[in-house]
Amino acid sequence: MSTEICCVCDTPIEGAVRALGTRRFCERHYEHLTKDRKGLWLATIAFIVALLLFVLAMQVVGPMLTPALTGGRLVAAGILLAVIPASLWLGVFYLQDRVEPEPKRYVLGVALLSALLASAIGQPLINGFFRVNEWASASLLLKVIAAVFIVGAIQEGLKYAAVRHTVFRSREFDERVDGIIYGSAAGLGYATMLNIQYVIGNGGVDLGIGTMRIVLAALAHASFAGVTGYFLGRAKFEAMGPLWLPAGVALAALLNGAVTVALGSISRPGLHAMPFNGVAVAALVAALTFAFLFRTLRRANQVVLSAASAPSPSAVTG
Amino acid sequence: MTTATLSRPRAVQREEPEWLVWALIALMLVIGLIARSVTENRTQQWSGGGVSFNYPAEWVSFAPEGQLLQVGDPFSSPQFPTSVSVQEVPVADVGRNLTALGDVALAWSARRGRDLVAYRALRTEPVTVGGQEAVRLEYAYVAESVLGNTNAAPIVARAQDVLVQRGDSLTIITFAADSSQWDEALGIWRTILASLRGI
Repeated sequence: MSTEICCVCDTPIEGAVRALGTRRFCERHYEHLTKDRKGLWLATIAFIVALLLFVLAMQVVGPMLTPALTGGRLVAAGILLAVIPASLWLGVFYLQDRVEPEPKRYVLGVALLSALLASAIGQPLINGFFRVNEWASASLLLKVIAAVFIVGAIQEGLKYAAVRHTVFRSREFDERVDGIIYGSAAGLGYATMLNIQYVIGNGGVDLGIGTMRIVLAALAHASFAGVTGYFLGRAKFEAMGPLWLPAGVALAALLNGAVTVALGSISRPGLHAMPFNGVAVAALVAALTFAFLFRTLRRANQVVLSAASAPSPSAVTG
Repeated sequence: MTTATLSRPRAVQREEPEWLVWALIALMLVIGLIARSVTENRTQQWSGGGVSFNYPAEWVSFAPEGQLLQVGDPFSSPQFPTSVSVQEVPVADVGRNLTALGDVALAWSARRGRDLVAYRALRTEPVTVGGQEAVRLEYAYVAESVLGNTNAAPIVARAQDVLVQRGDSLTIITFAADSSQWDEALGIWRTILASLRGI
């Protein structure tokens, strides 16, 4: 028996030892890690389209419902709306992932943990300790610095922690694409908590305008955390070097800050609010980000598969 | 089998070092803190009416109506922004035959009572501005929203006037804020007062 340990299932490898850089895999998990889930890309597109349809539907229904709801009912309706993007994502994702789904409790757990971290640590730090709203609006440069170095760093750091310290070490995290899946779950959990706090803080929201803000936050946070997830997904199965993960979190924080500032200007170019512009741009950013991540991951998988199919005694030992 | 299990490498050896991620986040937060510190400590000096003081650089100037200065915090209440204003009036306009600063302050308080709705004098105390005697008057009143929307509820405002007499003229430095934001705004006012000098 080999003394090599599979880095996914953490058990001694029986039979052929597969290698990717310095990482060793059993046959089963080597096949898993390069698995391309073509349906995932379709599910992501379906998710974005479903959110846009949800926004459009609420523009029709919202103005009719809002006057009929007051007080606690308006808050409850707002909270319901805040939960819808994450629920839609879960629904669409599981529809395409019926063959070998990620355990629901893991995906929900990561989203829930991210939401709790947002409520317990993230937002109190941003609004209470750093008091970003009180000083960061003085100039565009300050807005960007605060958005990237404080808001982005805290939010993306916590989403990273929600994945890294839970499912990352589990056997269920057995494909590189799992990083994007769990990262997105963390992003949606964080966005859901932000949206719930927004609804409660304002004593309810206009259901039409509020829906746009909720969807915008969901799309944006899912995209940012998807980037961190991509870096995590590759770090688990490849020796990417010590700067790989910091680079991933830094890139996500940069994207978080830059996109948030840009969306703020697009949604409110002057005195007039134009929230649908923000939603449209957020949808575009999400589509481009996920397209880039899936494409890059597919290429990385193809490189591994082509190397594995070529005779290479150093890569495969028996 | 037992030997293989005992001698297997530990799982942690396969993971990338994580402390670098948290070190990076800590570094980013320190940069953010420095940016906040630089911004919050940025002030602008104003001189006029025989006094000078520093106010936060991000405060914006309002149209002063008969005042030497009126600046306000753009990030405070949009209905009634936290503000500092300075006006200079002849002592004779405040009251006749006023010589002692205490009498001037009483007359000024009475004038405020005539000009402001539901005026309530809360406290009057002597203070020193650049070695010169002055009086601080704290009061509350009801104000209209500065946005001018007639369907908005009126605002309970709190304010302090610092009265500095220079011969025949009286300089009044007024700090006003929505009473719901008064406690938070007092920190800024104390900083402004600390920089207040007679010139």
